[in-house]
Amino acid sequence: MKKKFQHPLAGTLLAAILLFGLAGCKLFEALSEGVSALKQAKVADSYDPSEEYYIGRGVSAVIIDKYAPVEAKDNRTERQITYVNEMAGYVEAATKGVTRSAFALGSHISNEKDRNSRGEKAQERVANLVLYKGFQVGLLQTEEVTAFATPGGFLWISIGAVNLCNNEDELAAIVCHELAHIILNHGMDNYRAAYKGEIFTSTLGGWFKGDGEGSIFGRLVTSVAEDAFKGYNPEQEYEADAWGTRALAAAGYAPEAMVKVLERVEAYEKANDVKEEDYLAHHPPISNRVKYVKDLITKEKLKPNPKTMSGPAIQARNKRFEEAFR
Amino acid sequence: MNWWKKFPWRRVLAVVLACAALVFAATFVRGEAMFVGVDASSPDAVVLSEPDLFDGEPLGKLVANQEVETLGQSKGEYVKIRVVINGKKIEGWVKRLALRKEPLQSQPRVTEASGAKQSAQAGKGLNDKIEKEMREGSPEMNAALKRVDDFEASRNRLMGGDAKNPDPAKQNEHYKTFGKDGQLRN
Repeated sequence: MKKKFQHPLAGTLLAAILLFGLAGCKLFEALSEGVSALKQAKVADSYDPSEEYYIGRGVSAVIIDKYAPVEAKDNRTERQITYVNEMAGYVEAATKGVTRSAFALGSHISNEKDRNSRGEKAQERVANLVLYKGFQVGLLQTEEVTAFATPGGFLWISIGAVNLCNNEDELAAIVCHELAHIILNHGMDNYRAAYKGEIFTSTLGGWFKGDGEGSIFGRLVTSVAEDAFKGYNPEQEYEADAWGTRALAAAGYAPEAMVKVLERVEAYEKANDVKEEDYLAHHPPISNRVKYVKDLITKEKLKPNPKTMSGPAIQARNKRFEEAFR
Repeated sequence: MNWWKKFPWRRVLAVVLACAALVFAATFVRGEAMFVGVDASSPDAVVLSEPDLFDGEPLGKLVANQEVETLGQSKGEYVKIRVVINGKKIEGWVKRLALRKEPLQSQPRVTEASGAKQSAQAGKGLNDKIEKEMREGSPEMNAALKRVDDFEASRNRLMGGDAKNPDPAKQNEHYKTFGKDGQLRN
């Protein structure tokens, strides 16, 4: 009879495998629970593009409750709304190579540690940002110089801000600056801050009764919207200036248009004695931003393709700007 | 007994290598299944013939949570996919960020400061259902959101030809024409 091969350690080995298997199951279970709890705790940081869109709708509702939107009621207003939407969509498509890195955008900060203050997670969110329905640009029927960018791709520009511009390149500077707030996820950063800090301080809180999910979200969204009326924080504004100026050049516009617009805003502030509660009062000092943008243009030698700055090209752009808004 | 000397190591190695090759080939030939993370009205929902909006022609339109197959090719921010649209198999390019590994879904959320009732409830995420609740509980918010609805409808009609279901390919055409007419691109 042929003897079956059996290693002397085979039994021990088998027992050990079974033991480790059983222990492994328990360990795996415990690990899974831990990972699951961790995931749940962190999940407040991640929002689907569709959720960001609904947050943007809520914030937009509060904005256009305060400032009436321009309605598409005739050829002129239809042209205006189409024009600003075309511009935003074009700029977004034409500026894919423009960096979204916090490190590069935060070059106004001398301390390298602070330059990366957004952290890896925030930076990752920016890198993976996608809009559920793309950009949607509306105009606000007010002479006040103001503009808002919400999570989810809504962008609101006042007629007062449009009237501040002398040509298409300058309007593009405003659009690029506001697009930057969306692309760099500033609105959602502020939403997360409000959410984690449980800030429900909206003066519109009276709109909502009870503790239902709808009411809680209402209070949260109106708080974030009212915060938006004060403007973004200085770091976010500098980042938006940096991205916006680079985007102008990449899209074929004159980057100096950003300087022109900022100088006009500065003149507007002086002429209109901007009050503490006003939107513009919460931005960093305009003179600092002008200097920062000028330095950026020089340092990075930012300029568009010369063909886009030819006489006929500038004429073509200014003609359509005049037709839409003058 | 030196059984390991007689063990057919070469054959086992050959089998392992063959399996690895099969797994590798399957990954790249079949590609990875992914889901669309944008709405059908988004300009990013368009499947393009080339990996660039300005050069590509629209081949089809994706809808949110539709399953697509990535083909392992990428160029810039675009990836090549295979998808069935209206019963027809299409291969084309879409933005990598428009695709997700998991379908979109509203998930329950908790804050890092656990136990806060408000945050725990708010953490469920905002979707059309919660927006509806918000509107039903507040006439003021309902009126304000009605204006957002009106704005979106007119914007969609102007850019995509339809108030409810704007065509994303038409929107992309607007963007291309804007760049060309303004002589912003070569």
